[in-house]
Amino acid sequence: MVEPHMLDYIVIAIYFLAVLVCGIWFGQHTKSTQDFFFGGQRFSWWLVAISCVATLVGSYSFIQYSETAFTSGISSTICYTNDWFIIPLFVLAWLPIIYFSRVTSIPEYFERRFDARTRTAALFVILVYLIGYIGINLLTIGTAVQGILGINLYVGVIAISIVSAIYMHGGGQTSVIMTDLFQGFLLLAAGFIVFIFGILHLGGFSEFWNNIPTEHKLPFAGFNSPNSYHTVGLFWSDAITGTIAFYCMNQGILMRFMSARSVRDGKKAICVVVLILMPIAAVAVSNAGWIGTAMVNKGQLPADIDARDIFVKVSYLVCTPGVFGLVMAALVAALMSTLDTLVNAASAVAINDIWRAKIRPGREDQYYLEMARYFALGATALGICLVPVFNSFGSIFKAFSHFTSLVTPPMVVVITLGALWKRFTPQAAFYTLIIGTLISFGSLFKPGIITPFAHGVEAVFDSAGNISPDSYSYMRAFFGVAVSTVLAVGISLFTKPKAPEDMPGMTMATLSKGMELYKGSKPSDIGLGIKIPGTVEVADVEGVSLSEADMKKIFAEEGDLLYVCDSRFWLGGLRSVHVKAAKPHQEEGKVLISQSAIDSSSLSLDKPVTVEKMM
Amino acid sequence: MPEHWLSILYQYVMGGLFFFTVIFVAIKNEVLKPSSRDGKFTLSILLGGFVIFLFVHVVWTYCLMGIEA
Repeated sequence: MVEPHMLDYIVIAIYFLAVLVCGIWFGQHTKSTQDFFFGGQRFSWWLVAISCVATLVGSYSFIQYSETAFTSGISSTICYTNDWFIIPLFVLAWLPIIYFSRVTSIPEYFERRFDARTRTAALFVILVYLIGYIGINLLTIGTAVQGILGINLYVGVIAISIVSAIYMHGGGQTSVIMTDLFQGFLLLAAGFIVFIFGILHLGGFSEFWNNIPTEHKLPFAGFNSPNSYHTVGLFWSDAITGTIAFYCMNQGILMRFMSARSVRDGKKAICVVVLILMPIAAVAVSNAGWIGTAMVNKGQLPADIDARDIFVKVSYLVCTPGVFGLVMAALVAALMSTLDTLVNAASAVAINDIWRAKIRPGREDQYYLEMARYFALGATALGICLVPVFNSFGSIFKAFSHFTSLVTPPMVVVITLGALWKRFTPQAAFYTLIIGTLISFGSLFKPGIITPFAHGVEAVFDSAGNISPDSYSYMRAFFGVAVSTVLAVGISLFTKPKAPEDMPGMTMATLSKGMELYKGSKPSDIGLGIKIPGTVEVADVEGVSLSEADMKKIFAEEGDLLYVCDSRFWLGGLRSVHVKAAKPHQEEGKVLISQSAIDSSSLSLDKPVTVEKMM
Repeated sequence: MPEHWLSILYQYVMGGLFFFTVIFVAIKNEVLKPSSRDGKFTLSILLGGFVIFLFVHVVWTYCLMGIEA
């Protein structure tokens, strides 16, 4: 255990107070379930991208990747630099499908793309994934707080849960996005503070670089060894299944991109995240391990130091009082930001797919908003209950690897084929989810069935000489993908596909129809990206009315979808609204808008706005 | 082949297979139109990102290990 200075405690306390105030403040902008879950679909790409970092650099990142960096070197960055392979799937298929179809949860997509029973199967898998993920995050939070403060694991878990629940309860997605914006900056800053302080502590960059062994400087791990960390396993468990699950199956991340003001902004955000922010984040979360290796080689740290403690130990050693508190606040921030996203996601699935769809349909939106807040509390409570289960695995990463490689492959295959292949049938989707999941779980009891898929990765044997269930933690993902793909394609070839007109906008092949339904008329690309300035006035209009001249400037017609936004760019779209263009008037520069649109957008009447055509 | 090159080759061949298959399906379904201005931009970003990651990984490894090591 480290011994933080009083200044460190003060910095940590100030940080939590700031997060709490920030969450409650931005919660004022939550007026409906649309706001609670999707932030009103109004945010700029840069805000979505930066807030996304706080979720991506979440859960175990600092502790786990510093540990991996300490044992394996710069190849610890693989998991942050191998996401680009799935970007075409997300940008060209999944994001536009989900955005334009206006689905409020992933299971809803499954019903519209396939059928009701596939929705139920997907709902079950997603809830297990989300609640399990919450449990793992809470365990990580508890472990981190225990390591820093020396308090009981469960006391730490419950304390963090209460803080998180308060601002989640108050705000929903807008709170999550705005607090994550600040936390995203803080996380990257804290990571680089440790890096800079560490290099100075070692005596300069050359001292740091020369004290790292050559094999630790390579960007990739060994092909299929050592058993604990190898390229082929990371490719299937992280680059393919882990990344597709994270971006497509994780409702929390999807809701982040659904909160973007347009699909174009969502696309920009994901490209910036994966191409620029993720590699930066990789350095931020890993460098304590590299610094630790150099310090051990220079004799500044004992050679037998526990790799799991390397982040906290290195930070404590190189940072001055107060700065260490900031770094620790960032560590807990990383954990909390992932937690709040997952809790909000679980709440969205529960309210939209169970409560609103099956149990209490047809109520007022305010009722569902209130229930969503209680479901968020319930999801947190369930996650707390799972902490002892995951704690019994021995290590967080082991629990995490087993959990994701078991649950995600069938779902990843169904999502991918569902978006890309219109011939993929509802029967095939349903049985792939059910049989694929059962076979995946079955491999725990008969791990030998994974051996032919293992690419030469060696199995781990128990004392009785049998292949241990701990074997093939990574390669189980490839096994699951292979089995599920065979099931999906095989069953599809022998069953009848759904007619394209019965699934508009649900696959790449029917996406143009989905866009048409979203807009209410044929979309037009002309005039997209052109912004005109204006001043807002409340009027008795349906939507928003611009002057005829302004309508011509942006090539808009009555009924087109327009985006009215406070012109202060740094608000990132917090004060904005999507509205349909009403009949034009004659006064150029005037933006006449209904009182209800003003109320839902929080637009200020005394501030200039910009207007642009969205579709 | 040295293991560090095999690792890069495996990731970019298998990942590339998935990456380019999705792009091909998108072009076939006219979700991505390389002839349009927007489509050209999207395609160049996607391919540019792929090349950047490949370039950095190959150059990094080459500088450390060379071709034969």
